[in-house]
Amino acid sequence: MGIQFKDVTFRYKGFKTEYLALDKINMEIASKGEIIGICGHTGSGKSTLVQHMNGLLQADSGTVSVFDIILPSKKKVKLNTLRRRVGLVFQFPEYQLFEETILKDVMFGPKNLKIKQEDIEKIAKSSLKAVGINPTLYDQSPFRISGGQMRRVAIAGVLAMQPDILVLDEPTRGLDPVGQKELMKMLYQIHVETNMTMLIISHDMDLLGEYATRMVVMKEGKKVFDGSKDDLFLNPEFEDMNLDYPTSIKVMKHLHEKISLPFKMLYSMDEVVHYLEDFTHE
Amino acid sequence: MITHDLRLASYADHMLVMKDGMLMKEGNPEVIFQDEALLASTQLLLPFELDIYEKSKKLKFKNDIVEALWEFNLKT
Repeated sequence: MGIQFKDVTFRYKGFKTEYLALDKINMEIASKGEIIGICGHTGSGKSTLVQHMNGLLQADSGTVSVFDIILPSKKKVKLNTLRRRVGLVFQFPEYQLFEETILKDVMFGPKNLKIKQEDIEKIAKSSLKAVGINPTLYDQSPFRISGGQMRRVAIAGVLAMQPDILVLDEPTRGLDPVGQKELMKMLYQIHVETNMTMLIISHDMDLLGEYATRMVVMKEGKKVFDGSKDDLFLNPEFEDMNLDYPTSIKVMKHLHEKISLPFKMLYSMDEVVHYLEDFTHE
Repeated sequence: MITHDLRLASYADHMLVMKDGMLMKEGNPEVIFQDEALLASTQLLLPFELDIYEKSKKLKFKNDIVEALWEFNLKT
C-alpha cells in the first residue's frame, strides 16, 4: 500500500531538447506514520518526483503504484481517485484561492466528490479548524486575511479532500518567521492526530531536521540518499550533496571542537537547551 | 535590503523595523536583536544561533559554553 516507485524515469521534452528530470527512481512510502523531508538543489527533481505521486506527471519508463493504482494509466476515473487520495499542496498555494468566502473556497474541492451538501460543509469546517482558522472568518473573503492565513486556507482546501497522504512543496516559503514556525507546528499537530504520512519539500534544513522522520535527497534527477536524519548528517558523502547541516548540528559541532563538549545529534532548540542545561547543573 | 530573515539582516549597519505602516524602531542589529518585545510584536524571530546564545546568558549556562556560542555567531 502507499506509494511505490519502480525504476521511474521521466524526461521533460522540448521541441528539440530533452531534460532528464528523474533517473531510475525506486522508493516506497507508507501511507501512515512518516514525515519525509525531500531536499536537493533547485532543478534536482524534487517537484517532478512528487508530481508523479498523484498522476500530474507520468513516467516515461518504470511504474508508480499509488494505493494499488498503477501508473502510467490513461483512465480518467483512476486519476481522480488518486488525486483525492494524495493531496498535493503546491508552492504558494494561496494564489489558487478564488471564491467569495473562505468557507466556499474550502468547500470547492469536496463538491466534486459525491457527498451530501451538509457533509461537505462539515468537512470544510473541520479542515479549517485543523489549520487554525477561526469560525468568525468563514464568511470573509479569502483575500482580506494575512498571507499566513491565506496559506492555511489553501491547505484546508486540500485537507477537505480527505487525502491519505499529504504532499507539501515548500510549505513555509515566503511566510514571516513566526508564521513559518506556526505553520509547521500546525502541520505536525495534524500528523500526530491523523498519523497521515506527509512529504515535505524544503530547502530549510532546520525545518526538516526538526520534523522529518526520514530524509530523501535528490541530485540531478537521482535519489542519492534515503534514510534517517542521523544517517544523512553522519554520512561521509554528505559534503558532496551540497546541502547545509541544520544549525543545531553546526552549533553542537562547534561546541565539540572548541570546548570538547560530547557531540550529540540534536535537532531543535529545546533539545539543545536541555542538553546544555545538564552541563551547567552537574 | 528588505527581509524578515534576521540572519540576513545581521549583515546590515543600520536597521529599520516596520509594522502596520509605522517605523517601530531603528538602530544597529545589536540594538534591534536585544529588544525582545519589539521582535515579538513584529513577528520576527532571532536566528537559531543568536537565540541559543541569548538563552545561554539568560539561563546562566557555564561561561565556556556562552563564550563558545558567541564565537559561533561571529564566525557565521
